[in-house]
Amino acid sequence: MQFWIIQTLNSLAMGGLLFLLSAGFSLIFGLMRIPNLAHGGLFMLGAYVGAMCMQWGVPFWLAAIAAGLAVGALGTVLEGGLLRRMAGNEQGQVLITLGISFIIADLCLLTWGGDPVPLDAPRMLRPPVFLAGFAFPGYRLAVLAFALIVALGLWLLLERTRLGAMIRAGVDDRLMARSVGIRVSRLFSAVFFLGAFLAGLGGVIGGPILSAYPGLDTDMLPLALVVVILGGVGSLPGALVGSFLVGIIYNFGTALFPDFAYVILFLPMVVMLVVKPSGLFGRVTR
Amino acid sequence: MTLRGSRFWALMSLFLIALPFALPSDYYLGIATHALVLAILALSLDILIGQGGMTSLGHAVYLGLPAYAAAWTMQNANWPPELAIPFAIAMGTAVSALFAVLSLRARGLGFLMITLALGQVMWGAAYRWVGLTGGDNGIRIPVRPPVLGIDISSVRSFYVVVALALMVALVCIWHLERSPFGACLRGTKDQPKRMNMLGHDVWSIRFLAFVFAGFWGSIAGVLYVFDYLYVSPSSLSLPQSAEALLMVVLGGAGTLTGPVVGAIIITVIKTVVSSYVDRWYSLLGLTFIIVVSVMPRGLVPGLKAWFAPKEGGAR
Amino acid sequence: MSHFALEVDDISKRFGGLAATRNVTLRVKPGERRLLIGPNGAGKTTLFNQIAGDFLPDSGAIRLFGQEMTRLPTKKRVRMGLSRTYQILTLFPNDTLRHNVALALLGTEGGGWSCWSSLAAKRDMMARADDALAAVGLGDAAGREVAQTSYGERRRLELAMALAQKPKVLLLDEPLAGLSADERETVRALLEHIPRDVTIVMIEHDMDVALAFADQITLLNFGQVVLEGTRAEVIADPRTREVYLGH
Repeated sequence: MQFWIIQTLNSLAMGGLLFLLSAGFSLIFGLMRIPNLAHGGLFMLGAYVGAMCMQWGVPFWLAAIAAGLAVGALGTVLEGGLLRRMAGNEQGQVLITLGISFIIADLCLLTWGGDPVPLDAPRMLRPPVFLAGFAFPGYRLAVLAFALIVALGLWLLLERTRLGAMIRAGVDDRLMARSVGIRVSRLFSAVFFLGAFLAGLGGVIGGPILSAYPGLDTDMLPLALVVVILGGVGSLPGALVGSFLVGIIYNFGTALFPDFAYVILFLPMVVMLVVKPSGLFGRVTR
Repeated sequence: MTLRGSRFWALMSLFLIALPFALPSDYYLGIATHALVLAILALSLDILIGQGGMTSLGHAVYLGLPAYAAAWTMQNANWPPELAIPFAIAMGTAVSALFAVLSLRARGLGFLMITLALGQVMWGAAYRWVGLTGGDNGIRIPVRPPVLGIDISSVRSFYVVVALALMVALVCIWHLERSPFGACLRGTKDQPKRMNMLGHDVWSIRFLAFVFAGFWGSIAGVLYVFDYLYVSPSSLSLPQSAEALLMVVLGGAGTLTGPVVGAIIITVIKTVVSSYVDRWYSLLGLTFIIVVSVMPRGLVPGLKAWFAPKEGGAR
Repeated sequence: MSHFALEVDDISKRFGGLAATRNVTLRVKPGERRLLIGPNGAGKTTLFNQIAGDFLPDSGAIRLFGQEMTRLPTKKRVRMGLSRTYQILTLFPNDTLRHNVALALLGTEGGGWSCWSSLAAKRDMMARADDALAAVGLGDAAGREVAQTSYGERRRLELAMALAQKPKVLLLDEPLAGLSADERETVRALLEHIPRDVTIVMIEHDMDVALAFADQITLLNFGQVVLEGTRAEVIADPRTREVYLGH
């Protein structure tokens, strides 16, 4: 019993983390029509930057915000400097994001070395929480709560603000968005910043669970791909549901069939492709 | 027009024959062999990209999987190479058929994403399924076994095998390009809807192209494990798929020469760089960005346009 | 065997809340020239798409010479004798005109799976491709790439590709779109010369050419048939003026 409860909680915490990673990935994909293959790299960079800040004595949450802002700024620069020049050549843009991901991975290795860098959870969240006779790792509960708050915030942003309305219009129909006078290039910058910010933030939030290590990027990117294939491109509810699904499958898979966890993870993706290629909440056809 | 016909074949044969004499030592011939193995992989990927317009980021599957299959059956099941080789190629081709069915549910970047994800599945399996694959340690073959009684253990003799395989691959892919099927495949790249309206089965055309690519990729995979005498999860990894893609894009998609040139350049850069500094991934990434933004059509078509006579009055 | 070449029987199609096709029925006799007219968004091309099998109608049936084809994939319909041209040119720009037509021939005759033989060495097919091009006045241009031809020549290539397939029923989607007066005349003459064993359904906005060409005219608006009749009947009918002028 203990096993199932703890694993369920771990799954939900992992799902929350995945949401921070994939929400931005999905929005960028929906709006710009490109899978940002550097997204795993941005997540990893966020984890390292957060770890570095904390070594300088910056408190956890501040470090998380700082890492998010730094990674978000980098994302905006990359989008404006490299991707925008290739507007219209989506395949070229994807290859550039792939190139960026290799450079980020290599520079992280150069800067922080090959050993995993641990990130400590905030002190107040470290002790376990006792509920109905079970001990829960407090930090994982906090991650779950935090992810849900971010999800709510993003939902409000998308549904209730002018920027959100523009993003939704852009995801649904880019030409239409342009023809009603939305400055699409600015929108791209904004969404890229938001996506990169969330990835960087997610890297730090995930740090106490995953730590920062070389290869974190290529571990996370496929998870984001699977989330988006499951949930549907450009859909926030899709990213949320997909994240929790993947979190559950990944965690139980790793716990029960360690050799095959990675393969099991991709089975629902395969099923989804066969049954409904546009994903659970997909509106955009790929 | 691309360099075609007798001139191309004469130049390519001359190049492959001259290479062992031109290179100063077996060390360099070994590197040339690596490059030619990857050239076959790049050529196979170009069937998808250049002819079919389907950009795959999971093509390393067809390098690594047959390599594992050949290594495992020979090392752990004591199969003779004469049995292990066809088995490995059949397995790679069969998996390409399965993955084609899944990947072809989507087009364009969706296709790219699915091929990437499927590639990661295979990588994950190779890395984590330690009992079968040896995990990160991979599988090592102590010596290159003779095939059909022919000793191919020396660098020179194995170079001959790889060069011959490359020539056969070039001939087959050249035939494919100018065949009715090649024309149909290029048709599905430019105008899938029209091809459908003309009565073609677009899905099946793409499927067959995918399987062709898988087949030739598997040949490269078997040569790969005989070349390095070692296979590890990195042969199935995303960077390996990306390298193959870069070879095609750098050399020029849709040409016969392009992927070969791309494979040689990338292998040379990789070998030279990694003997000085350990920054291959940065360089790989940088090359990607430069090639895509400066020379999106690739070296071979780019140089040809450069040297071609300027458009004159005559049509 | 039905005595209609093409029979569209009460088909309807909705996209979300939008009814793109509403209970449309068309009965086209063998050899007939049928013109579909109607304002933009009347559902003419959507109807073509359903006849061609790009998507399936929600209800109703489509038959070719009495044979049911409502749910068949496009390639089967093509084999049954259906061909189509597009309003927006859909050609293979980096290939020669001859190979463009060859792709049309491969579509109906098969042979597209051959991976070893050379397409250019299929003498018989190439000769027939050249004939089809000559029939639209492009005999000299067969070896040129599409990218090197004029817009008017491309329009005629569209027609050559459809005619090379020896269709029984030919759907023409604005074959005159974007052409100059001279080129219109050329294409008009080509259309006139299509033998009567080919049944033609045409969408066209150029009324001078189209009205003279058509035996029967169907007027569509908001996805449904408003009226159907001979040239004189449709012109005389007040509903025609209403659809085009009124709101």
